[in-house]
This record gives sequence, C-alpha cells and structure tokens, in this order.
Amino acid sequence: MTRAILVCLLWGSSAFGGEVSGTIDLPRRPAQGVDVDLYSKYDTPPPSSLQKDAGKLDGVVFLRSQASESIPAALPVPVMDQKNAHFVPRIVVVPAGGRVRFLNSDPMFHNVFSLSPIKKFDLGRYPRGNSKFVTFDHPGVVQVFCDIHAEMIGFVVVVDGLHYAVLDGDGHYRISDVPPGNYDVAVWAEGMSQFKTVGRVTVPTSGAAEFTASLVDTR
Amino acid sequence: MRPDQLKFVTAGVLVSALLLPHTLFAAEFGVSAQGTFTYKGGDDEAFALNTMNRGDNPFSAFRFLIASRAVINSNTSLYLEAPIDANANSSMFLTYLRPFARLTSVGGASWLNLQAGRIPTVFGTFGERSNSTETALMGVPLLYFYHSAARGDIVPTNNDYFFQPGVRGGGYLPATYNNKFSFVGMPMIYDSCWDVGAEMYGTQSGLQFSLAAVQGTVSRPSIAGSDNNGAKGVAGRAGYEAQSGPLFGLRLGVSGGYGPYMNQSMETDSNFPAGKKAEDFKNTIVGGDLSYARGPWQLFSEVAKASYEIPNVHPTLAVTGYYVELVRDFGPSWQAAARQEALFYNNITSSTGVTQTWDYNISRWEASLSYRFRQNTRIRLGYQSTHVSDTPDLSGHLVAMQLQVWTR
Repeated sequence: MTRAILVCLLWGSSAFGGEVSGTIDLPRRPAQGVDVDLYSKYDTPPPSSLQKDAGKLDGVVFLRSQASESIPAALPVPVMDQKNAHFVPRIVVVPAGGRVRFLNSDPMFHNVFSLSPIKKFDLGRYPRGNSKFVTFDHPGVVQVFCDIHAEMIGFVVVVDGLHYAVLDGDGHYRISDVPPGNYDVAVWAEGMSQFKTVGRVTVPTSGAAEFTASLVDTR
Repeated sequence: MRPDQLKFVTAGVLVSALLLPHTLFAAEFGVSAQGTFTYKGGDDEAFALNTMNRGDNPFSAFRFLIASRAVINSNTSLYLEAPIDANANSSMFLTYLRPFARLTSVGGASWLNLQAGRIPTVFGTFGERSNSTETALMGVPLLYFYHSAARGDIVPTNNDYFFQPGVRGGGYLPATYNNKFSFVGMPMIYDSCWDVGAEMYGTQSGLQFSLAAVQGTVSRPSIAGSDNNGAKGVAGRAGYEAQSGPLFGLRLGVSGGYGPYMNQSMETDSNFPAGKKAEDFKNTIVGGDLSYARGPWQLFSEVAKASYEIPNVHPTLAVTGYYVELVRDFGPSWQAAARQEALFYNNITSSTGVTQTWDYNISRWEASLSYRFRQNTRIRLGYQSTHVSDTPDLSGHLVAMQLQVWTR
C-alpha cells in the first residue's frame, strides 16, 4: 500500500531551544473483536477492561542525529508493568543498548517472552512485585507476549537515537532536551515491520521545531 | 475426507451462522479459533485408549476449536464453543456445542460470579487447561476420560458381570445392550463432555470456590443436556492460590462430586432391585490438586477417588487415580513435558469365589517436546506408553507429530 507522506516543517519561535513537537497522523485501528477466554475463569478480567481502544494506531517517533551522539553513561530504564492482565504501558521505547524493567503487579503469574528476531527471551514465571530486566542491543521492534494470557501483547521499540516519544491518542508528540543539530525523523506504528524515515528536522540553538507528517493513505 | 467428516466440517460452518443472533445483542463480539493437525504412528490399540465416547480423540488427524464471546454488558458475556474432530461421531454434533452465559461480580460483589448452560468441568483443575494450546502434552490424563467398565445403562445380575470376557478393559468400546445403542463406561471425570447446569464461583484473597448443580454427575455428565433420572448432581472445588510471598506459584485444592448417575429407564429392567429407584444409586468422587510454578518450571498433580453404587454388585465399585506432570521451558521456543499417571480399581468377588479388580489397572506415561516458532504456532513431538495390567494385548505405544495454529 502506498502511503503519501505529508511533511510540514515550521520553525518555532520559542525562547527555549531543544524541543521538537508536532503530530504524526496515523491510520485508525482496525476493528478488533473482544478476547475470548472460556477457561481461565479466575484470571479473566471483567469484560469492560478488555475493550480495545477504537482510536488511532499506537506509534512512536524518534530522531536520528546526522552527527555522532555521545551516549550517556546511564540510559533511562522504562518500566513495562503487567497489570490486570495487560502490559502497561503497551509500548515502551528504549535506545539501543538500553534496558527495560518488566514488573509484575498482578496477583497471578505472567511469563513474558519474545520470539522477535532481534531479541528472543523468556523471563519465566515470577511473583507479584518482582521485576526482571532485559537489555535490548539492536534497533527494531520487539513484540512481547505472555505465555499464560494470550491476549496480552506489548511492544518494546528499540530506537537508534536518543530522543523519542510515544504518540498520544491523537498522534501528538513532544520531544524535549534535544541538542541543536540536524535530525532524521523516523516513525514506527503498530503493524509496521520496520521504522520509516518521514523527513528531516533542524533543531536550532534556541527555540523549538515543529514537525508534522501523515502515514494515512490519501488515495 | 470421508463423507461423515465433510458433514462434520459443514456443521462447523453452520455454527458460525448460529453465532450471528447473539451478536445482534452484543456490545462487543470476538471469535477465536485453533487447529491441530496430527500425524501418528504406533499401535491402533494405543490410539483407541485415548478415544472419548463420542469418538473424538486428542490424536485425531485434525481438530478445530471455534469459540465466540458476545459481551452483553460489562458483567455479562455469552460464550459458545464448538469442538470439531476428525474422528467424532458427526450425528452427535449438536451435543458437542458448548453454550453458556457468564455473569461476573454479581450484585457488585467482585468475589461472586455465575455461569450457566453447558459449563466447563468444575471438578479439579485440568479442565481449566484442557484447551490443547494450554497443555504441554497431547493426551488427556486418564483421570479425565478413561472409560471404566462401570456403566449407567446396564443392570448386572451380580458381580459376575465384571468377570465376563471383554467387560474389564472394554469400557471405551461402543456397545449395545438390549438392542439399544449404549454409551460406553464411565470415566472418573469426563472433561470432553461438559454438563448442563449452573455454577457459582469466585476468588478472594487467594481463596477459590466453585459449586455447581448439574443434570448428570462428574463421571456421567448429561450428553443430551436433559436429565437421565429424577435428581441432580452437585460438584465443587475449594482451593487456595498464593497471591504473593514465598508460596507464590503454589495452588492447591479439594474437589468433590455427588449424584445419581443411572438411567431411569433401567428401573424397568428385570434385574433392577425391587423397591429401589435409579436415584438410589450414586456416583461419588473426591479429589485433591496441587500445582506449583516458578521460573521455567511447572508442576501439576491431581489425585481422585470415584465410586459407583451398582445394582446387585457388592461392594461399591471404586477407582483411585492420579497424575503428576512436569513442564520445563527452555527459552521462548522450546518446551519439554512429561506425565506419569495410573488408575487402580478395587477388588470384587465372583459367585465362584474368584477375587479380582473390577477393571484392569492401567498406567501411562507420556512425554513431549514442543517448539514454538511464532506466538501462535508450534509443532511438537509426543510419545505415549500405556500399560494395562494383565492384558498385554491392550497395552501399546503411540508416537505423534503435531502442528498447532491458533488465533489470540
């Protein structure tokens, strides 16, 4: 499917530099049926919590520097919780080389695993309140599942950049503390097998840049 | 594909049409499906020793399980499951359909839920994972399907019935009695056939309870959905599952079931004891379950004792069984599992003074190695060895390769 990409680049006039914001317009999520689980009667969350968001697809935007970036000694360690038989948040972003903490907040077992080529792992079963850490060395998208609750799906987006954001429900984003320079803007949305570079942005020494693009099919 | 198999698959398609009406009332709707394709080798007898009494078999060449859920409101869902099996008796297709309603948090009490209709097996814990994608092994534990020689549609003259050739060890063979089609012998628990009834269940602080009233009994659920005598059966389980701390991963419980199992029509049999009613003959079962999971390991075990009051037969027939199952994950793709199990029958004495078990004791072990190459696709290799005491010709070995594909 051909996707038209519309790029709108505006220079901001903010007095504070190092911020990129805008909107990435993503397609709406296709209709999905409610989960069917006849057997785990004690584990099944109430139906209302199983309802899927009917909004736009989940997505991530990040900046690839055109110059070499120094990797900070301590990368942030995002947490992907397991709560009410869901991954919360459903998407976490981590720079290549970074770690993700998988917490179990449920009073039941979960068993996080991935069969994604860039990172295969199986964390086994561990108690409520405990965490396990996984290091992601290679950029790409890692789909994570629970071996016990088939309806649980999450994504670890491993980016080759240090500046990123998860899009909100309307596709808006804001990336702060971006050093001045030229960056490629890359996007990933649920259903895409790899990142897509959608444009370029220059972050001024002071002020903010705005970048907007669309991945919606315009045909 | 045989004509009757085609008919069966066609019936499966018709199920989809059955799903349509309740979508009209549903706030949300979902369908899941799984397919299992098996290539087997080994002894025919070993395959037959896995057969359910409607012909379905976990080692059948193909099996499909289609399930739907219609969410009526935040507390009410309607479920329908349709198992399809290459070896099933297609004329009994409607008895395979499993429709039931589930109401959660009844009256605002989060610990109280109800379900009614053709409900999943209440006794024990295997029923919760009997869906083949939930189990690491291909076969069903003997406790949950193996047909003994005890029946609810036969009135023996005396203990000698169980000394006739072909009775012991023949519980899984279709037979006729008085020129009528008869169902085969009763298993201890019959997970393949969900009973019709209502269940209340819930969990609070790790304590779990379940109590159901059903048309049949744990050993003889109502296949047709109607009651075969004038009284109901009850079944239930009470258990505990650690919510945190060092015991997290431990689950244990006790289960029980009680009720009359005999067909009321047997009251007209010339051998039926005078002054008695079909409801006077009870099927009782008690059992315990213990499971534990930690890291890549899982342990499942159950033990149960079932008894059957049979007209003109003394003492009460009893069978005790157990299984122990160990599962080990090796990374995200590989999984190995093994199960050891056995059933032991009590002794009865014939009119000539011979004492022996009323059915052949049976033991089995099974192992499998699975490889999952996608989240919803796996292949597995399985081996099963069954030993029926005193009858070498009934013992056997089975090797099978299985491909499983399922939707989320």
